[in-house]
Amino acid sequence: MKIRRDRMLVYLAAILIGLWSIGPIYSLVIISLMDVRDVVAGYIYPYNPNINAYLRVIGFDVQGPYGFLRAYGGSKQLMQGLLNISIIAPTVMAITLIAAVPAGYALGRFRIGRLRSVLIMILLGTRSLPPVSVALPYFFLFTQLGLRSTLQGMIIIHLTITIPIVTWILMGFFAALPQDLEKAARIDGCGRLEALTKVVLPLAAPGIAASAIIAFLFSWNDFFYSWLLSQGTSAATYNAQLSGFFNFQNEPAMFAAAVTLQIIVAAIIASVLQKYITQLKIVDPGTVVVE
Amino acid sequence: MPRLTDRQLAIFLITPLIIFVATINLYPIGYSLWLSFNKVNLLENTATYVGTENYLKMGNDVFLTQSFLVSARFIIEATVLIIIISLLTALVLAQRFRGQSILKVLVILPWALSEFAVAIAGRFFLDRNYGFLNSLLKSTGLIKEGINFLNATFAVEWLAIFFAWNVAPLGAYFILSAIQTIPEDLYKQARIDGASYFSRFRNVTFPFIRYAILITGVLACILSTSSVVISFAMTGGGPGTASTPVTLYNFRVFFYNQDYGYGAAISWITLAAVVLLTIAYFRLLTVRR
Repeated sequence: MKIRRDRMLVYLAAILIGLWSIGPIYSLVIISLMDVRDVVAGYIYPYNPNINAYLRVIGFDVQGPYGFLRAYGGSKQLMQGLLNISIIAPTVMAITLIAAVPAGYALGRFRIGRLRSVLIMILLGTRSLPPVSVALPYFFLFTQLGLRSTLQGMIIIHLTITIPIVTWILMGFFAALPQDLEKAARIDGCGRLEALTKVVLPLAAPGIAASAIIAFLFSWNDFFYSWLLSQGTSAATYNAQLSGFFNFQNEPAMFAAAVTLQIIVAAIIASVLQKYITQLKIVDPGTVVVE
Repeated sequence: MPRLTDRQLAIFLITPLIIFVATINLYPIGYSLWLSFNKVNLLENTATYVGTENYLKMGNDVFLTQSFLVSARFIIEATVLIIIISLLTALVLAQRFRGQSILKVLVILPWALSEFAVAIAGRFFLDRNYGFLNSLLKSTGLIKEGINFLNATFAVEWLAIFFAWNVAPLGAYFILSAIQTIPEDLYKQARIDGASYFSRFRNVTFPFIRYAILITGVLACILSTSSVVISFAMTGGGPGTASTPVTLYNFRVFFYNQDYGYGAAISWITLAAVVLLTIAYFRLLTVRR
């Protein structure tokens, strides 16, 4: 009987955690699927579900259940934002890997004494620099360099965040990989670089793939820097354009639909990533490296 | 071509990163330090050295004092919530049960959302007119009229709850990976000894995950101290200034009041807090567990 009761408790806790995790997402999605009138009427499930809000957001006029509805006025800019972030995020991902894989490998694998502690400290510092502290200097710098409201500028600002984070993660990942194979390869006459490309990189492939996804996800999700440097311009990202909905308080369905579109991509990415998260030690690669 | 030694190769691989990271750290920090001792006049495009005036001004700023209290509340509540939620989630995920793999995916979802999306989800969840929570309470008959959850008294608490909702999954996964390193034998032994669940948790599980919990707590502190988007997008710092943390107030001083020197001076408080926390974090990493 006691075991039975324990099992029940585990399932109950599991259900509660599941509800906690998806509650706010569920509420966002059902609002996006309903007409404003049904939303205000207070349904807790999608009543009269339709995709009108999504169609309006991407620029179509629709015939709703309660009459004709015009397309969202800012849909052109929003779609431009989607295009922009679709260029920015993959570029950020690629450049981050080019910079972070060698650095992460070196920091995770080599014994370079005190220099490493200092570097790790700097990486950690960069990772946790408060956005507000750097906002204004970056704003002025990017304006002066002519990088504000350009795609290149957005890519650069995202790299300032993704490179330290991904280096940090990969450092831990490389350090945790078994050393023996690499040693064996070197005894057989491979140089460091050869051992890296032929032995270590294939072993590290899942970790590198997951870090790539993390870099992409950061860029895709960034609101603060995008808003700061690109809002209201042709280089504005999808997220930055979303702030335009603050002027449409009486159209919750469209706002919810636009946010849901942004979330879907992130959610798919995260559910793929989920398998690797414990393996990657994302939270704390430092535990592996710092002795 | 001479063969590089390990050390040379390592330095060769790391140097670009050092330059990059040093530049992006030093430039904004140096610039904001310089700004904080100056008064900028945008019309004439000049900066005048004013010494410590910007720092002294902080003492008389009631809005700043108020935002400090909001920040303190937000940081403490968010950190405590993150620790509790991630610990509970990890303990449940460590059990074997049907649907475990589905729950693992559900748990990670809030983490995938941007801070902005979390803020908007929070808004829609709590809205007085069409929020889900109000609809739910109304349909169960508990209330008749919609409640304004994001009121002056509790707005900060809701910010902390939604911030914790966003960050806790990472802590949960981290604590979970610590739980998975516990040898199964220890539990068997404890069960044979007839230890209760709580004594098993205290004597077997806890010593293994203590460190993970501590790290989660420090990281939660760092993240909530620098957080600005959630208050900006969920409550706009309101009603009034009731949920304006230092970071958001700082942002306003910069971009609405355009008092750059003063804003730079304020930003040094957040920066100092985060630097202290980061040092604590680094010390934790080097401490023997």
